[in-house]
Amino acid sequence: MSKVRIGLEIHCQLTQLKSKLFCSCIANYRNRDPNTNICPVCYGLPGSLPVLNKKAIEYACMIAIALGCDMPKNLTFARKNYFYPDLPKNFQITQYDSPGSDNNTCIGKSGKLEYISDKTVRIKRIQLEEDPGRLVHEIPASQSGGNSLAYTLIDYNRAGVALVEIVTEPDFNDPKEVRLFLNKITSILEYLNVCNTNLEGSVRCDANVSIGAGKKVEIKNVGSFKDVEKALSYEITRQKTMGLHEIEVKGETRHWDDKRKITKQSRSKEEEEDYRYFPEPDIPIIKIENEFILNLSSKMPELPDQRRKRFIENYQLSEHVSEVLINHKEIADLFEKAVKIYQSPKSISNWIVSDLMGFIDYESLEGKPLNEIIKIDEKHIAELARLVDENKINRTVAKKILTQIVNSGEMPTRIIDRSELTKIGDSKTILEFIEQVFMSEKNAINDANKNPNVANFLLGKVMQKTKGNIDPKKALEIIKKKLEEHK
Amino acid sequence: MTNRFQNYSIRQIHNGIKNEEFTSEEYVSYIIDRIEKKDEKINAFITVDKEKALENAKNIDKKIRDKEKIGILAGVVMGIKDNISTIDLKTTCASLMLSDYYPPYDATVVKRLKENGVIIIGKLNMDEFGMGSTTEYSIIGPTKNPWNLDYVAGGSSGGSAASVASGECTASLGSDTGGSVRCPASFCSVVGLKPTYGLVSRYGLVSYANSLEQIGPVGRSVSDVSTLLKIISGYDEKDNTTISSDYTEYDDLDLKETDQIISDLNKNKPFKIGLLQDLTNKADKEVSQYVYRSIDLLKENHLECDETDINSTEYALPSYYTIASAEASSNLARYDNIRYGFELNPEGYEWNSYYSDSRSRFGSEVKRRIFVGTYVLSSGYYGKYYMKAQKAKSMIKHELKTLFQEYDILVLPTVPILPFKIGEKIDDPLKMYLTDIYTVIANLAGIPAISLPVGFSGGLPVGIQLMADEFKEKNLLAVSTILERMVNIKKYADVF
Amino acid sequence: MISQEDLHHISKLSKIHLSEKEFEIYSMQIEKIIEYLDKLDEINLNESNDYKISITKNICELRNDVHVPFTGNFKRMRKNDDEGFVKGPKMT
Repeated sequence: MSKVRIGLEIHCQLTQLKSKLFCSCIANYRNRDPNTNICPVCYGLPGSLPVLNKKAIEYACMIAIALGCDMPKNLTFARKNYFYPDLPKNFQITQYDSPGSDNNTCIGKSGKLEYISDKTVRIKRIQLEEDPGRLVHEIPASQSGGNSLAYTLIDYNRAGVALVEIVTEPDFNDPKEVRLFLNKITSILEYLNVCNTNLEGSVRCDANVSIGAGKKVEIKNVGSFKDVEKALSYEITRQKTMGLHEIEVKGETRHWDDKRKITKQSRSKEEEEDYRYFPEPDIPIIKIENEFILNLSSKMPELPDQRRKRFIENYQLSEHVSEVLINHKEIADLFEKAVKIYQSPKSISNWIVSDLMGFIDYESLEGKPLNEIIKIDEKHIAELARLVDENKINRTVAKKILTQIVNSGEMPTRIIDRSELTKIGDSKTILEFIEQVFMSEKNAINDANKNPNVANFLLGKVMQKTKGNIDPKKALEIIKKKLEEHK
Repeated sequence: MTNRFQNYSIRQIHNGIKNEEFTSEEYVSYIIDRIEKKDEKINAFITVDKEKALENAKNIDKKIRDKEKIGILAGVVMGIKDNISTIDLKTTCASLMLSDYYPPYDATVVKRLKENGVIIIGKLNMDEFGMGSTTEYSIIGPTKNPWNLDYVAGGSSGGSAASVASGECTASLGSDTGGSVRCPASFCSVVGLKPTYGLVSRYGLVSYANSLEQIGPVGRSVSDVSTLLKIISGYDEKDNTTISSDYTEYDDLDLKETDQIISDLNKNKPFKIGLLQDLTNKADKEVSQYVYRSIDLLKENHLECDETDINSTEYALPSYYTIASAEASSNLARYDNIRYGFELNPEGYEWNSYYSDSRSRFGSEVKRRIFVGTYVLSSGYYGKYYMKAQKAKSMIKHELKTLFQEYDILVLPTVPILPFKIGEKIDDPLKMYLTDIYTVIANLAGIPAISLPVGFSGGLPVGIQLMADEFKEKNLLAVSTILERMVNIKKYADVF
Repeated sequence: MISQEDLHHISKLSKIHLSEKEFEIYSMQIEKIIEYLDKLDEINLNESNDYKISITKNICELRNDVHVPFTGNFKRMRKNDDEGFVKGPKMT
């Protein structure tokens, strides 16, 4: 079978900025009344001029550095001219180097990223541009009586938000690789703290696919990262089927139909695309000095790969556990904070990876910080791990406590104090229970000489009686001792 | 009403009001009266805002009575070209596409004028979106030349020049993309300056060709122009292309003796003026003779003058029209009639046809430039036109930079011909474009240039143009002051 | 030379409808203008005298990332207002 080639164009909003790319309106346009987050600049009024956001350049450069890109000496912007009702000026300010030119005026060029061991993708280009507004094609059925409208509603609140576009070379051969890569990119953006990737629409992805010598097909409008894999799989199957029937694949743009989960031919491209790029005259050439890059590099937050390495080296964690921890920055942060309180990286990482993470559904986070969904922080985890390690409670009890903390945010010791879950620790009380069992299980005790399993059987009975609230190790010790006495 | 205020300078008006020789209200009333009498013929104004102007005048008078501080331009009455945004005052660019557009903000220059006490009397006629050399391409019809109503006022800031020449305001602001301040200033016998690119904020100026244009003052004297430049120039955080440095200090030249000005010019090294001989000789004789006369007058004042030439100017006009049209085609894309414009309900329309229907209502010259601009940027032609035009721009800038190592000022005609009759060139776009042949040089090079009235030929004004190196407005204004004193030409048209 | 297809393409790209009569006039006029611009063809792009013609700035001169609310009033330009949304033509 011929080789599948997939390339990606990822758009991520710099959601951590305070203002838009070219004006001082709020970058966080979400949950606002329509057209209330606008000014002459982002609304595209006559006479307004773009005023470049310094921090946006810094953030975009951090992404370029993290992806190992060549940085430009002179940064320039260009106009991409096309009409569309969500574009206030009917052109988009973006970056552009004509194909084939050696010029490097975009935020980054020719980078690469190892997204899993031994798999590397080349980054073609990284550029900074403005987001358009949003079109509402239909108003809710409740208001319109279910009829679609004879017009479109436009909200320009999003217009002008800073967007970084990451373009990869067609280096993926499988949709699964794409998913792993997207996870990696998401994690990097989180670590750089430039984009809250959990916010709806903050990261968008277009893809292109070609098989063998076939034409390249672009897939747009994929709403979520999960669907990228689906859309690609669908498209590959479609193209392969066409190949089997000896139908030629057209070079075209297809849209992902979210409801039917298929790609559809776009109708909108009635004319040949001719964007008439030219240098944006209202923005000067921005000099990027070496010093700026060096300074930025030195201030860069630790990246996922660096952190994983450090976790393995400093905390003696396994490759797998480290990988799971570092994947989400908030989780890795939680781990490190907990380790500061209780210095047992092994048990803390165990609690986080095998128990706590079961409570987190990243899809439903919707951009909210972790501690708004689960009421747990490093103090809880540290204490829980310590209590178990010190045999104050056993794992089963601890897991029950964890379930409660997630909902209530109470400290483990408080839950223990309040409930009957207190572990029976003193030998005297344990002995009392054991004696009771010895009384009722005389037959078993008589078998003890022949059957070595009797001790464990008795322990089970004791645990039953105490509802598991004793230290089994200690109990077993006492049981064995008592059986010895019986001989 | 007497004509006591006619030809009053900014300084005279401001001092008169401050010293309570007359009130601000009296002066504004005089101006309103003048507009009512004159503008039916001249057609310089698109919008006149009498009420607000009188209200502002009364406020100034009250401040004076109350001995409060007033701005340094308090009482000066100005008209503003209708492509410069004024808050809640209609800004139409003489176009149907903005016929009902009330900006929610003031252009930076307008804000600065207001802060200094300027009273804005109204918005001035122009070629639609600044595209034209005669102010004939306006939705309200052409502005007439106040010296002869059959003739064009020049353009695109025709209203800015004609209103000042006919005394309908003290001074005005225009915008100059390829000569749009200097050409009408020359045709109407007033002083018009195009500043260095980046000296004056363009925030609020409705873009035609961003990389070439600047807002410039128009006045009846060099001193008025210089006073206004001082106020409107300087860094603006809202315009990334403005320069953050101190080029904005201009001397009060009108208070200085000519000898003093000349000795100041020669202070560091001998001041040298270059006449662009080839370009001057190619102009009509009625025009070139005045250029030579002006040079003679400067020589009489012991200023060193000799002849020189620039070679790359043959590419200036094609380069200008390529760049300007390209930028215009993109700038004017936003006029899709959705958020502002004229009545045309989008309901039921498919968006492509709504756009092309609405946009077919641009005027003919605007459409031509959008088409030309779209063409030169479209794939396959970018390298042939746009890139070469940029190269020509760089060549011209480079050559001028070299010339300015030897010369402090270059002299040439503003326009190679005398004002012509209304309608004469309107059917031949290319002939119309040639009007700009000497003015576009300064826009391409980004240097300052001024047009100065130096004479009349058959009752029609003649202007000459002085150019200086970047940010050397000071020299430009100094030499202009000397020449202005020598020629002593009429700048106040009271013929009709 | 500017062909009929060229002008059709340009008219489509710039979203300006032309009537048949206009089409004739404009193709003639634009042809003449473009011919005049062809003078630029004499310029050799490879000749190196790339004199800087654009303004250059340092990063430190750019705007700080702070939110400043716009205080002006947008009400007067909402000619197609629909409960806060801007009403535009339909898309398909």
